[in-house]
Amino acid sequence: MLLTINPNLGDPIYLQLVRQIQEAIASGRLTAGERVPSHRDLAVQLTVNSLTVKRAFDELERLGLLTTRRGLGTFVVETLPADVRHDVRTAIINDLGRAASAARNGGLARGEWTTLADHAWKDKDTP
Amino acid sequence: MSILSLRNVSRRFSGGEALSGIDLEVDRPQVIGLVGRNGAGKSTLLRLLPPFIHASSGSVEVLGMDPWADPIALRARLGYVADHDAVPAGVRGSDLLALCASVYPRWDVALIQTFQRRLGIDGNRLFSALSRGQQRQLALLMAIGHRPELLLLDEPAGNLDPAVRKEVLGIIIELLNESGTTVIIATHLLSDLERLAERLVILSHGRKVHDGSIEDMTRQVCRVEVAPGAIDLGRLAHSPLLLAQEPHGLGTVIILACSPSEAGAVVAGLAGPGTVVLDAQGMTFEDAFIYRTRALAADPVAAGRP
Repeated sequence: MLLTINPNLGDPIYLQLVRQIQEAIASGRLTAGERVPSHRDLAVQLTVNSLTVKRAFDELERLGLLTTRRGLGTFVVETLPADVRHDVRTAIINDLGRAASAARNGGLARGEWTTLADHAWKDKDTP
Repeated sequence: MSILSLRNVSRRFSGGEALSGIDLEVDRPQVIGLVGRNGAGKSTLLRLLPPFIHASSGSVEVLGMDPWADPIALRARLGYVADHDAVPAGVRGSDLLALCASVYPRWDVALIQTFQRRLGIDGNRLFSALSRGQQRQLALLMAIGHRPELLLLDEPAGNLDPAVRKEVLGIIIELLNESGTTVIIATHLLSDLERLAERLVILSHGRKVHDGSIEDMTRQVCRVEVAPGAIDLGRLAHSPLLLAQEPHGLGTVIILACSPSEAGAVVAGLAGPGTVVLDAQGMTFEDAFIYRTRALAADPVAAGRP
């Protein structure tokens, strides 16, 4: 599972993890029933306090995306809630809204804005 | 059990008061980030605990003990890494670790050997012949082999390159995973703290000015853009809620000590109703910290306010 932490995002680390795992599930990179690493292993891998990862897992359980089976580990739920993709879309729309208002305030023309958005999309072509 | 209890602690040096009226309670294992500008009192606070110095007034209790009642017994239960090298330079790494193992009855030889191998620290080399990064790593290993209940780190990864810093943080995280160690880490590296600390204590001019989560601190600072001519900056300048102001495009950007959702009401209160707020955004931890502490440094009176 490829997760990254970006201190420049302004979002708390646990929330960054929640959103990345949400996106991985929505896009099918993590599939229903798949086992995810333990929060302690992920903590070592990401070099963050394991409580932070635990908090992200708890939130994902609350959202109905992950489930913990005692003694077995943490898994993506078998039956995903219908609105997984919807939640990811909402988060993206919020981000775009922020970026758009920065672009407007910075005096960018609409054409420049769409070009920049397109560049950002292409930059992410090769993960 | 109380891990740490400081009540109204002050410490005066000949140059003045390094700490004043510090209250700090730690009653469960956690990672605490201790931040503040140079000279804010971070190292002084840490040095009260092993204990290396006496408080001038107030009471200090560490792991349920008066630290000066039996310093040796206390040191068997805590670890300390100084911001400078307190390690004799002309001794081999393996001899340093062997010395620690002979001093501490609970020394975990296997744990330290595992870390030493993974970090590639050659025990046959003199401490002075190791790289700066490996010296810091060895100093950390010397402080954790007895699995301390309380680990005090003064700039453990200062001046290290990011890769080595990550290894140092990795050791701390694995130690945390295995045992419920309380860690107090004083550092300027805020991105490291964001990864580690559950609780943030900010010192300014020897006083505690924040004690809460990183999120609490970050949430209470926001960047607000107001329409051109909408705001009487002269009037705003007298409010303690105003941390900074700068022209931005045609309008003005002001940094307020409140959450983005409160920004509209705060601006209206300061500049009169009807002031148009174009945008109010939260900030990154690092930016929020810089604006908060800069305002405190400029105003020592405000720094005294909790």
